[in-house]
Amino acid sequence: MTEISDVNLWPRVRDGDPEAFAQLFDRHGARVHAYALRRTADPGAADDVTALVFLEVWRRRREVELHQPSALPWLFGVAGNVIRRWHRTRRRHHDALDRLTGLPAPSPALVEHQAEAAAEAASVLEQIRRLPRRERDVLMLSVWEGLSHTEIAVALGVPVGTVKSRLARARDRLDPTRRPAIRASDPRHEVAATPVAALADIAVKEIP
Amino acid sequence: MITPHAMVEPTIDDERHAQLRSYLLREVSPAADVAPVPRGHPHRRPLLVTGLAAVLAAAGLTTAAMFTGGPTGTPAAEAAVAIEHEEGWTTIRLLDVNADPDAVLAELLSAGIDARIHTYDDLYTEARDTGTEILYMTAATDGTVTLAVIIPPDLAPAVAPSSAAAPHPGDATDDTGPVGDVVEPAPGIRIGQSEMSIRDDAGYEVVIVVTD
Repeated sequence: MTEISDVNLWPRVRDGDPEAFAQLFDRHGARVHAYALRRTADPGAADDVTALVFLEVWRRRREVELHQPSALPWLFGVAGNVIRRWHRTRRRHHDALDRLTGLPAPSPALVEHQAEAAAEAASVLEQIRRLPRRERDVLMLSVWEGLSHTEIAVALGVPVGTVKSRLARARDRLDPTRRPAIRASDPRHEVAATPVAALADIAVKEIP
Repeated sequence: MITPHAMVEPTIDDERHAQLRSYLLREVSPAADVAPVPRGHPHRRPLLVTGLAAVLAAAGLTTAAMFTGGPTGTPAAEAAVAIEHEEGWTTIRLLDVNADPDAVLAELLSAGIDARIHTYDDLYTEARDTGTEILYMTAATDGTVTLAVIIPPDLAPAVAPSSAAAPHPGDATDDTGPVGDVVEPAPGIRIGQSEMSIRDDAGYEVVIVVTD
């Protein structure tokens, strides 16, 4: 049987069908969790963020019209907002998160794997820490999540052209050889091109 | 090295997925939507008690405001900025990068600091068109609001980036050095990750920048 697209599943979620909501989680829960882990570098926070994303989706379901075949870019956008407004969102779902902490602990193998992923995330986050948040967002969605420029535009609610210009600026900032002379000659900016810069360059090359 | 998307392994296994799925289904079940109010819930408390609590809370907030110097009714824990005046300098610390910009504006105005709210993109356009330099707190990169000062062209740093390479707002990350550093990029202004000090006679304009 052919699986229906998210855009066809969404009306059932909007009408309050828990099974349809569960299907949405089955399709995208793991991707949202991986994204949350890379954004926070904290496995515990990744569980919280994943739960909060889907609880927010449920809470706001009647306000949302899904126009893309996949809900994933939009879910990444929700995740970005949840992370950014972490404290406010946590307050809203305080009781639910209390119940989340009551879940059994993940298996030791999963804990180890998540710790490795978190360590890598921490390293990358350190490399891109100095980027403005808007550029970090497009870079991570492109390089880490593999979204197209169009999908990133949906996730962030900005025009595709803005995605392209932010990616190009992020690439330039991460690679000192591309910086204006004044910045490259400033001792505070004498840093080597980071490994992330190479991937940012690949992301930019998708730009026609 | 970063693992590209195509090589990333899932960060939850089937067991954890099932646990999270069950949890979410419990949370969104109709029963959860109409959970009965438990005994002793505050909604059932007599109005007199609720009113007394409100009076006591208001008194507490006013007392807190007196100690912090913030606007009346603003609890210290929720202040968006902290402001100090010392030896001819005013220091503003941004305490909450996710604060409501209007609340930040109210706090600055009540402390005698003239400011305005601007979006990130509008400020960039203004700076490009007028030749002014915008100096941002680096807190911009993590929140929805940050603070900046506008430096007129004649007082901007001696060697400004060319217009072709003009930095986008938020570039304060590049201008202020590592986290925690405070630099003095123009006369009468010191700026760091989440604080700025402005000499009282400098006359720079403070801007609340909405970064979303």
